[in-house]
Amino acid sequence: MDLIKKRRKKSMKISFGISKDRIEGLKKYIERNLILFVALFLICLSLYSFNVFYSNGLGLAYNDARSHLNIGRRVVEGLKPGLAQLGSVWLPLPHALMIPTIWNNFMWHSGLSGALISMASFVGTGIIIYKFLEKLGVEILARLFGVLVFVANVNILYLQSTAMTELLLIFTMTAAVYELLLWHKEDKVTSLIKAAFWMMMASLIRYDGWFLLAFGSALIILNAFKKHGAKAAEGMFILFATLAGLGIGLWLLWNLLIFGDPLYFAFGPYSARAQQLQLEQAGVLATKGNILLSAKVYLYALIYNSGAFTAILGVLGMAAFWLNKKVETSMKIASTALLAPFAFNILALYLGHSVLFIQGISGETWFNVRYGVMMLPTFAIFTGYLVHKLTSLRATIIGLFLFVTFFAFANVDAVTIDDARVGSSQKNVTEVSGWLRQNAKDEKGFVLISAASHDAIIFSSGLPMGKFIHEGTGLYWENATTSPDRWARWIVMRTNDLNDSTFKLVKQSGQLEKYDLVNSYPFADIYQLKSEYLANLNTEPVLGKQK
Amino acid sequence: MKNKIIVIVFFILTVVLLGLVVKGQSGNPIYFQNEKDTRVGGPFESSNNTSRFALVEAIVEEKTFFFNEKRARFSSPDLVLYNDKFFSIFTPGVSFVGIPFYIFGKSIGAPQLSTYLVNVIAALVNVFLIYKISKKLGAGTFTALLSGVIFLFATNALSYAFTFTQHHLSTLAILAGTLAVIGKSTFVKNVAVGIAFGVAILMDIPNLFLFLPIIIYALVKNIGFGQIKEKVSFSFNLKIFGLIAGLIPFLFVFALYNYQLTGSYTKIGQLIGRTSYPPKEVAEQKPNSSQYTSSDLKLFDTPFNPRRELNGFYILLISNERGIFYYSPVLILGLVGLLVSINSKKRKRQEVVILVSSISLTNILLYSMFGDPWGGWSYGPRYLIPTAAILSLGIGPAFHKFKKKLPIIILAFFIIAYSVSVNALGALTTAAVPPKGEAQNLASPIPYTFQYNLQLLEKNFSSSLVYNLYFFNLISAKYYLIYYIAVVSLLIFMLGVGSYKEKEEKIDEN
Repeated sequence: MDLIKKRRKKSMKISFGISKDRIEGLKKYIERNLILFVALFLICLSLYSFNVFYSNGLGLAYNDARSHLNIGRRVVEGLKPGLAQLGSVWLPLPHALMIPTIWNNFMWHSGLSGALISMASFVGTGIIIYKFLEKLGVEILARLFGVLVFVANVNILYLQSTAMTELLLIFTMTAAVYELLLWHKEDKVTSLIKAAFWMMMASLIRYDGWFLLAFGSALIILNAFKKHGAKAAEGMFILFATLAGLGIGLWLLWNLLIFGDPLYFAFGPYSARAQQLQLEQAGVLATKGNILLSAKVYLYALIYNSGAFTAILGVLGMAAFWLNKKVETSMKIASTALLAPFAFNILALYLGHSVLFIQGISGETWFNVRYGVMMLPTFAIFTGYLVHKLTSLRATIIGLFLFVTFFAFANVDAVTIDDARVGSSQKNVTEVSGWLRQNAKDEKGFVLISAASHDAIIFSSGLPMGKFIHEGTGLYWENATTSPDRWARWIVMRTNDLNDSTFKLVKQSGQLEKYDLVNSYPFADIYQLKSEYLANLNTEPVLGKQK
Repeated sequence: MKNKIIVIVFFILTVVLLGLVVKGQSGNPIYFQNEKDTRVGGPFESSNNTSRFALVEAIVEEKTFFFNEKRARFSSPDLVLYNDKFFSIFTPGVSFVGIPFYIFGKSIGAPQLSTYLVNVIAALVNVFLIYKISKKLGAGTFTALLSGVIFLFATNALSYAFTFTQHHLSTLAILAGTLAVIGKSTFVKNVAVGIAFGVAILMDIPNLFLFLPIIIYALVKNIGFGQIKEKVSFSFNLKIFGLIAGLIPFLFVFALYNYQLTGSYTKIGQLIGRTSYPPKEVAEQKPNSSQYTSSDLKLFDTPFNPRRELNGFYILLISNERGIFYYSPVLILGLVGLLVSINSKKRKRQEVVILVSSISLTNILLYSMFGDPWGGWSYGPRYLIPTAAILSLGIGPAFHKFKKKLPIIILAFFIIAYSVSVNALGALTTAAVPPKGEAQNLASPIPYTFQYNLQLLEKNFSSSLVYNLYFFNLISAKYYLIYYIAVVSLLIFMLGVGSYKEKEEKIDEN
């Protein structure tokens, strides 16, 4: 660099110059490789965040995170390993993606097996947001700002450090909408196929993906009909739906083959519906049938996750985009898919298929408030667009965003951490799992426990999965719940709670008097087989491979 | 010359109108000059007044920054107990400015009245600064005066002109900093920006953040990009060091003050925390490990948390407790005016509008994140007085934009009359209205909006010294208020007419 330093007495200036060619070259180099730099930055940020939340133990704070890891682990280890362990409680993709790494004890118990998927999704979503804005004709600074809005959010950084499914869902849904936008813009069939692929993936993560698929299908029919007529619309839809709907088809088939009912996931004893019915009976499903409360609760959730300022910028960005006459109508229509999570969550709350507690509105606790994070990519994209359009206020908007973000990070302000730590999503099972680790680890014998009720205890105990007899262990479960004294040295259950299937079945067996109550803990009681019955106890996995 | 006369006459009128609202009670000598009575409606009704006043007294009377028990009780709960000594929780700027006024007041037997003049004068200077900045934005004389008068009489700036708080002096520093930073950058102007910044910090710590846009703007103005032949040149103007030169003396004073109080140059009262007098024993709470929240992970203590933004926006902008647009809907016109000006084709004007908008947005965002956006027992959004000043700057452009649309002008006049009425009501009764949560939990609940002030008025209560001295036996407090509103509205109407007649090209001049 040719550096010229000048001191001029009159103007009190220090000046230096750089060759114009050098600057142009540097600019071109950066532009060419910017996406790579963005990816590298996101990878570093992702790794750093994981390390922070792994070090302070918060990475496994969510009860559901531990359950997700256990489901993956049961596929490769336990009394009855196999793909059937993917079960029906949750859609299978997140657990299936864990299979290559979950066999390793560190990957399982650190949560990294699940977090890796979230971390990759975090990086992927950042890149998609960048590309999305690029396709909207947004200039580089505003593209980078859009990415920043997404990544400079403590909730996102926390969730990407856990084995939760939000980031994977966000990634697949954002990728699907991106391809859908491309198809609307360029009318290339490859974009339609890619959109279908991502929607299929999303449909295998959470039911939000099913809604997006339905919404996306409607957009595809509308656009194809407008551009090419009815016949082409029919063809496009079939092409799209064949791939996009494949996941749902396979899921129904799976439920039919494994559980004998294609709708087992929806109406089975461990389905969300069954849980919601319990909540309804307890009188805490206030959003059901109340559209205004549903909207209010979800609005609060998304504002607490994104930040009120970011949400306001996002809404202003939407207005700037949708009211801009220069933007093609088809693009505007395609971008409405970004609102699918908003519509889905309000609808799900209204219909009683989902539950979300906001402190101050739904009593004094949090529950599932993380659902609000689904709108963050939408806000990020539209905020990027806003910064692109409002050139005169660009510095103000970016400056104010950084100002607020500074305080968010200073406070490590994340509603999702509170949701995980003090809300209904948390389960501090340290005492009960600690007892198991201390007393059952080096002793022979199985622990009878309901995974549906106590997966967190199984995970936190640190014991191998093969030590536990749970609902997914086939004959072991059937035998142990009818003759517990022959199979279970320890029983972990909530005494007198009929929702705990272990208690329900053991009570029916009439064998509980053969056990001593060792201790009662906040989430479960531990029973131990009396010593006089130990002689007849099976302590080895003698049933062999089951179908 | 004609314009100068108009401005002088206007300021004399404003002084008279302010004089009619000065807080006080009849007596011989005038009440509150020797009595430390914290009754509602009096000058000592809030501890954010008393704590600062106590510091002035302590400095003048005992040459110390620490409080004796009497002053500690008077200041509580805006009080700090550190190393077994009591002192004010606030930064010392307001009290420092008040010292000469107190000494003068003491010599004539009116120390409270004289000391509180600080904010009356600051309010007048603020009107003048708004006038000056409005002119920079292209407003004519009447339009610029209109902006100033709306700030003073149609917002809660009026209530706080008769307190011993930081709001008007902070606003003054911000407006002065703004005025100094716009236009051509010179060493002297940068020194002025630095001085304004230093003064602002001494007045209140959050001003550090409110000044950020001004400081960034000053820095950007002193960095130049250009192209000379085949080279792109970057230059850095050394005049920017004027800013540091202006700032350093004030930081030095602040550091010495902190050192005297805490033994540390950087430890300030607000970071130590409040205590009441007499101090209450606080049982140490052991954290429950199962209830750690995200707040346990915080990197450092700050009273500002973005989680509170939603509630903060509501309280500060639209709520009937403190909403700026509820108490002063006239500022909606100002907002429209600023939005209109942002699209100005004149770059310099656009720059100024963006700068003041940034300050205002920083102000709103900062206090929306604050744990107590209500500002305790107060009247209107006291933390947003700088924003009220900035939004008032938009009145001129808005008036210019809609001056030919009669329905809007008529509507605007009603909105102005409403805003003047609400804020005159606060100024003539009390600036200590509790937040909803506190009002409803009092042993005898009271309203948490200006309904409380209306209740006081119904009881023929007025906080005005002039009313209590001269009009109490002649007219009711309600009529005093009505006449006051009528006179202020007439002044605004006249300025509006003057503004209407101002030539368009004059308004457009830069």
